[in-house]
Amino acid sequence: MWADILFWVFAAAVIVLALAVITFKNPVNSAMALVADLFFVAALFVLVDAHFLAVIQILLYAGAVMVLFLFVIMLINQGPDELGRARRTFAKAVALILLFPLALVVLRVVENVSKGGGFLKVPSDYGTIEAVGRLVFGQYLLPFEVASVLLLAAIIGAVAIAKRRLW
Amino acid sequence: MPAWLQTVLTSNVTWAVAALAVAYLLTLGGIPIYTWWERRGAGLIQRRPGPNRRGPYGLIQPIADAVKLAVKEDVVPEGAHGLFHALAPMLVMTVALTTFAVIPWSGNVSLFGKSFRLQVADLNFGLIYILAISSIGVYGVALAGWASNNKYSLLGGLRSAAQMISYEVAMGLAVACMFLVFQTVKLDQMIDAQVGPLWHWGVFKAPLAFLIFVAAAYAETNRVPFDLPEAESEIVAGYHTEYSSLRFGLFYMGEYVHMAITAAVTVIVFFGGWRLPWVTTVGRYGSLLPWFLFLISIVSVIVAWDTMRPARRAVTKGNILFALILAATALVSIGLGLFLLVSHVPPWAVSLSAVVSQLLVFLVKFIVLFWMFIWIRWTMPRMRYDQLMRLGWKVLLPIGLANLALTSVAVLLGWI
Repeated sequence: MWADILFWVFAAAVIVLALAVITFKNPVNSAMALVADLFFVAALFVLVDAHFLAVIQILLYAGAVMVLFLFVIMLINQGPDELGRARRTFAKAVALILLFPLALVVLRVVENVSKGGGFLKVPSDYGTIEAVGRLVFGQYLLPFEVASVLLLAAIIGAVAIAKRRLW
Repeated sequence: MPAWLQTVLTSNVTWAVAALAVAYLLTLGGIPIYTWWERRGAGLIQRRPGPNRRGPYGLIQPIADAVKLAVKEDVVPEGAHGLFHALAPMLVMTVALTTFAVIPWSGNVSLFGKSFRLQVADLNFGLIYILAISSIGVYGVALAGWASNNKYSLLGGLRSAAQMISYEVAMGLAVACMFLVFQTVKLDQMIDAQVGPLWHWGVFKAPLAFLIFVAAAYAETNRVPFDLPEAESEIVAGYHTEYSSLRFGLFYMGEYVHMAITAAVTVIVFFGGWRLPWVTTVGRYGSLLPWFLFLISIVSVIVAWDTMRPARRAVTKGNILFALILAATALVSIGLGLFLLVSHVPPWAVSLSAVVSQLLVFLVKFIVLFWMFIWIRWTMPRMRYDQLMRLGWKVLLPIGLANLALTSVAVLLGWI
């Protein structure tokens, strides 16, 4: 009962804030709306017992990644003159076209749920740190390691590009 | 014992309210004491009295400060972003307060067949929750800097964002090391893992992780030697240059609450939380309470005597009242202690005494670690910005990584 009510509240907040992210003209407003949005997504994770995912969402996305976003936005600190110029009708059209496949996926999920297909049935402790850890370091060890090597390569690449003058 | 009292004592609500009360005493209730303590500590270190005019030992001074802050003009600079300018100080304070929900103030005790613990929320990712929530605090500082429409504020906010990100990495590595050592992320299980002799404390099992953690924690609280975001010699007052009245007050108070949560987490992870070394059973903690009460009475008598010494300060009505209150405290503690010592105490009273003495142990450790904040603030010089970044990325990060690798080997081989 309460979980249902909370779900609708959080889901509505997620959608409203996501719209706010793309409609605000001021980039700092957008960034802060995205932070709040990530918070409500974390709340949705909590509602489906994915506690570890929720707390990592806040720690990494809201607490670290978005801080860097904000850092860069504040550093550039564009005034209203630069922000008001761009119209980009063509870019908007392309974005709408690209949105179409995503909308199809969402519709499929909604259709599936409304038919009574529902979500996956999982044990209640599947979201704990232990369960996630066993999956990541057991069944999915190889993808996990490959992903971490990829991230390392990206970091080294970023440093190499940024610090080219040092060589 | 009457039935209603039993119902009250064994209700979850009572325990939750009691845990909340402790959390509030150490945060909102503690702020006046902390500010007074910091100024007196500064005086002690710099060989001057510190605030000593209003009330005994200057204890009324924080109230005067609060009134001063509250009645000051609340200035919002021209061109400021109204919403974020107002939101930023609230964010700092809210985030700092929220983290206290998962701190266990005492161990499990059984009352009439049920088990209780002084803890508001028992989450299964306790310490990660604290890290996650306190990582949000940086938005308060960064937004304050940006929303003020002031170059100095912006510099302070940027510095804070960069600093927090840098030191969060080191802190995460130190904390991950402690997860390995204790094989858990829950705070109460961490305290349970430190049962027994003194060398079972986290600080002796992983001393390097402790040093990294403390350095990173000081950086996260924006205190000296890491208070670059508000370095007054370079950028006026940094991110809170354009704040006055209670908005500034919230930043100021948030810093102390942040210090309190850091001290509490350090106590739990590295100093055994509410545990005394070698004391294991709940009954032992219960039987220690009379002796703690005697200690309290001795301290009250010493302070009361010092208050009334005519050579040190004029004996005013306030001082007399303060000394009388202390004398009454001493008498009550001695009486209660003697009563507990000689009378036959029922098991439920032993459990309650155990909770109180565990709380007292926690508080003593907490006070020592909080004093460390003040001590370091008035002893160390401020770092330069490049030194700060070098320490974070080129010293703490490699040491933290090496420490994590070494600790995992040691844990695997069973050395820790």
